[in-house]
Amino acid sequence: MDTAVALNPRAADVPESREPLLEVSDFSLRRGQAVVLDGVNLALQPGETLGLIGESGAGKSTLAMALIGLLRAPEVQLEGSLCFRGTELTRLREADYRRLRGNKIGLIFQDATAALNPCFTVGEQIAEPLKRHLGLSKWDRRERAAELMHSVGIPEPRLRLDAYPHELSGGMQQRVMIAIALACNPELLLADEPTSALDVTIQAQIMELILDRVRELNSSAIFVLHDLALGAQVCDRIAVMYAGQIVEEGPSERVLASPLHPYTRGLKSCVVELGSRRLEPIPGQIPPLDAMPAGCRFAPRCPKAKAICGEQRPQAEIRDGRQVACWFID
Amino acid sequence: MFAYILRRLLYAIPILIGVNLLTFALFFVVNTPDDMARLQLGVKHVTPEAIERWKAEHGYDKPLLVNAEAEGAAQFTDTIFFKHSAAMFAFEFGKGDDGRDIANEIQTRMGPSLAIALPVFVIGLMVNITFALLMVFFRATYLDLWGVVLCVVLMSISGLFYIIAGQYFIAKLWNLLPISGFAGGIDGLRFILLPVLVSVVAGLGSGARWYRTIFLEEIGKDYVRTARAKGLSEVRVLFRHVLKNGMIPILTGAVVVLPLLFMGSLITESFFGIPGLGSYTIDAIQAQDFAVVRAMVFLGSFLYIVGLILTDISYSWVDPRVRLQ
Repeated sequence: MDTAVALNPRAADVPESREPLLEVSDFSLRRGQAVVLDGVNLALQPGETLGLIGESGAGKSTLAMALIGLLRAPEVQLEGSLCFRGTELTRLREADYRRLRGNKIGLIFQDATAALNPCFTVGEQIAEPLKRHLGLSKWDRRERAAELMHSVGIPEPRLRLDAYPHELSGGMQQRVMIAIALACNPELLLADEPTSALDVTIQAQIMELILDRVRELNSSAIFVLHDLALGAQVCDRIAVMYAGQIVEEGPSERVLASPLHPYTRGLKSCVVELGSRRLEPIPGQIPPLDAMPAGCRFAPRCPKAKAICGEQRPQAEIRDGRQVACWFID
Repeated sequence: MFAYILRRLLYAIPILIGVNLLTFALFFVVNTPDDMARLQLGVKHVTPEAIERWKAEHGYDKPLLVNAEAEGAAQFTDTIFFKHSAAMFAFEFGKGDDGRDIANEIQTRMGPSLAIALPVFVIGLMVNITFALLMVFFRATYLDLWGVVLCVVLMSISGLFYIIAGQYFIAKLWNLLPISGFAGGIDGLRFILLPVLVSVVAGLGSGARWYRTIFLEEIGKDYVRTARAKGLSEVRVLFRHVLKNGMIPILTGAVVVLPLLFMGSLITESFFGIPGLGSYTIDAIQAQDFAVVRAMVFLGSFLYIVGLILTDISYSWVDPRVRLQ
């Protein structure tokens, strides 16, 4: 695997200090009047995995899209800072951003069947970032694509290079998607619900594969998930999102074992557990973007809400090694 | 694949019989064999004997559809419809009512028709796609908006206007090209330019607007987002990923008219004096030459069916997901 080492220039310049790879500070994203993401704070160390957890409409995918720069002005308005390897992403020129995309930042989509181009062979699609970012020759691209397919567990990669996406199963398609995202050995991998479109039996395999590959490349990863327990199981840290805000963020075991925010607690009791006869759903749903409450956005659904919750927004506090945004942390 | 084409060609037979019957019925609703004979012989000084003689010579002295006097199968075969239609399926068109051989006419007139229709098809397709891609590249800007406005204006104007305006300005006022006419060989180029230009402009509005819709639909799909997430430039996303997928409906929509290019265009050829199959058909309709009209309608429907089969085959060429069975 001489080529693979040569292709991984990072081995030499891994930062010595514990500078965060990615630092999101006070980041907001507006679409016209609607505040889709509101004051998000996050830090990701090199080699760390983070799970973004929340129900549909919480803004998890939006955050991922903003990180890879597929959601930018003028389509949306960004405030605050996204700092990746010391580079301020919000002010980056589009041409420079393109040099990061698919290169230093990789993205895995939820539905591989739709996310792969039906008119190109999988080999061509894996080779594209290799040509764009590494400038490999046609022959080297083919070799490397076959290697990548092998590394994501596709049997007989040389035969499958010329297959079209529809000739592969859903699980194989998602493996191709992973190969594309990891083609240039990214330092940050974003995975947007990478297993939601797959059979349950395949889900665990794919999740395990992504984690293995990320560990092997010593990359960091952000997983967008809606399953708190799964997130806690596979990620070092967890950020629970609600209505465009991070309500609780911290090390996985602690967040899962003793959630501090009422929403995290609600999420936890939504999970079916062996022996328990009842599910406790969180009543209501996320309010529409144009009718967000002035105070805590979770207040209308919160069992603990008091008068102050509806009036003032709680600031995130550091408690027990995690950030929590709630007026009534016990 | 071969079995598929054979099956489709067999389906064509009932369709062609139906088309023939319909042309026949429409023609003889407004005409009787007597009218035809009178028109061919000259309206004045025609004796009933001359009419009968003309009808007998040209095979119009039988009943139209059912011969009540004949026995058995001859009831249907000994009629004008059968005598004039059966040979068509062997592509034997016979003679026109003016005595000229139709197959021969088709052969000599096909060239001029193609000389106009083929460039119009190829150039039109490229111009429309380029214009549509430009509008998509500048989507949701004023350039896109005015592009669409231009398309709607272009497609709202009658095709005849482009012909007359083109002939008036380019040929008459500015004297750049001849108004009409045709010549063979390289000499013919100057006669071809104006009709081709006019036809391409006349088709630009509807074509580009349709293709723009196709490309816009493609650009909203997930695979485009994947292409962008690879760090590809917008131009590359558009011209590689979107174009290839958009070409599926565009090509298959275009292939269906490909065989019909042989037939030429009725209006363009008449206005520009091109001696092609289009003007041949128009002249035949005016002269009430049923033999020619019927032959041209038959040929047109046959070519259209061939076009439909070609469309299905082209799907399997451009779209890797489609296989013919």
